[in-house]
Amino acid sequence: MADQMIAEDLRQPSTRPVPTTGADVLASIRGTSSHRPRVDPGLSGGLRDWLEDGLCSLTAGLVTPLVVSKQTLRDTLSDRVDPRNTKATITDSMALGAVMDALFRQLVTTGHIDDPVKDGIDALRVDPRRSEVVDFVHGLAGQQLVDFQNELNAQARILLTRWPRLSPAWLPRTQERIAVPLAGGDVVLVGVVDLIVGAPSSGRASVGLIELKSGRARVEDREDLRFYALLETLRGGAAPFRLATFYSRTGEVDAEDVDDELLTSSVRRVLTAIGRMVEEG
Amino acid sequence: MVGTSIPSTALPKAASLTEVLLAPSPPLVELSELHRLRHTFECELQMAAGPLDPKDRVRVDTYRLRNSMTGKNEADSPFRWTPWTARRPIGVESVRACLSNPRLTPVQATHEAIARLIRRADDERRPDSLSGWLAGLAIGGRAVVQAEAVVWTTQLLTALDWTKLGRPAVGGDRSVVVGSSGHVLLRGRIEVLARALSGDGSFGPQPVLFSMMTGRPGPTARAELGLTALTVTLDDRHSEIPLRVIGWWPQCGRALVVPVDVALLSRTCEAVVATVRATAPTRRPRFAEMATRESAERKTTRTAPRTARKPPIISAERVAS
Repeated sequence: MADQMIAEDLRQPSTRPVPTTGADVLASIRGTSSHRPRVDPGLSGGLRDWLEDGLCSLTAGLVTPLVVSKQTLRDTLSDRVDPRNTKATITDSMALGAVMDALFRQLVTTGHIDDPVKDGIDALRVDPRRSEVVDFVHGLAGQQLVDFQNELNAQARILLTRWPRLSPAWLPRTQERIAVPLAGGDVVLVGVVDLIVGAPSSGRASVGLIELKSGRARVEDREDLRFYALLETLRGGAAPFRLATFYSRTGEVDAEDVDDELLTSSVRRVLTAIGRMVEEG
Repeated sequence: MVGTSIPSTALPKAASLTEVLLAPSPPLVELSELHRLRHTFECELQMAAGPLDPKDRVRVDTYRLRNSMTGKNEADSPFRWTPWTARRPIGVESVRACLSNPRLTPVQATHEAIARLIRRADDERRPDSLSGWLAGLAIGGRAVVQAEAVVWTTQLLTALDWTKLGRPAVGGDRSVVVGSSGHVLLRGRIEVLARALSGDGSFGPQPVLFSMMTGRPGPTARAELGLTALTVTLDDRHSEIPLRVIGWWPQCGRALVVPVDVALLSRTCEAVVATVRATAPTRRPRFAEMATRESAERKTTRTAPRTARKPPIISAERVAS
């Protein structure tokens, strides 16, 4: 939802996503099966040690626990928003993102969406934490409401036509929470992944992470998923094999394989961001 | 490995967890020790629950124990069904279904479990039941509930190597009323109850417990797992003492392996007594007034008011150490 906060600050990702059919989306998510590497048993522990070493000089005097999410990383590194000011005002794009997340979840879980506006709002209404978004949408009127509904219906149509039906054997699970405590719990890296597929690793990389974005493609989108790849590696002891972002605005997919360099760059990014948070008090 | 996380380098984690869960071990608690512990526990509970109205009952579950130990003694908010609270009962039913039919996936199993519950709503006619709540939800709301249950089901199904567990019981929570007064109900949350292996590799009689927890392990984790073990231990219907309890936090991939010994049970009993003691005055505000009046009436004596005799709640650090 908060992904949309800076949606109007647009930069193209390094590799432009391509328009896709359902089969292409599936192929993008799968990647090349021969590229699923064997798990390096020392990688997860090494990344954790690196983070712990970096944090031990940073966390003195920190107000703990410091909860680090993809949003706080982005805000801190872009100097756009005070990351301590976590109470964001709901906007059209944020509400759209929240409803699209709910519809994506419904589609993956049940295989159908009947009425995008009604289903989406009903999904948010059942979660007390989303009451602000529900209130915001109910407060829309006139042209603003028409625009919102039109955009939602258009994106839902793209989702329904382009998103492939996943085999239940892939164990698709939506909005799974990850929380990795570091520095004795003083720092907690957190994330909620829109979609995880694949059983936990038994020696070869087996998990794919997918995010849905209702805004335009941005460079930061890849960084979000790389952060989630780091969390999954720390949590599961094995790196995921594939990261993919599905853009419901266009039906495009941006995907990449996971390698050691991707994970180490994410570690550096996390430590840089936490360093800045500490500097800024 | 005892009392620590499972090493992250051991893959698949399910195999490591299962191996640790089932590992053979001699019993750590003698029956005579248990009888002494039980007697002391019941006496202390009797005193702690004394101010309660005879009709009152304190339910001590992991939620209340954790709040008590961390000093969060705010009034309980009434229970309500949400996707978050509904995912476990639906998930337990789904995991059982998946184990009895290996071709079933979490998505299919949760769909069927929810459909069964909704059909049941017509018979139950209780709007506050899970069935009644689900029946009242629109499609979008039900989808969220199912999605949460899919996550929970997948997490439990992938946490263990089920082919090695023999005939595990899934979701066998235990409730035990302690003491003759019936004031205190202990509630132990158990995701899986299995039997430990004996020396010859066959399944022995001793239960081992597996609990799937939320978030990340905190300073009260050991006591929370201890409560699960204590509830099974005090359950007279089965008369069995578990060998160990494993807590599994899928959100962070951590496990805590806790052997069930006298020290664990004693500390858990202390924590339960402190929880009941902390609960009694808040549940019976008249007691505080009574104690104050009693104190005022006995100003000349050296008798302290009963509230002042309340020992501090056991510190989280002490229990977790």
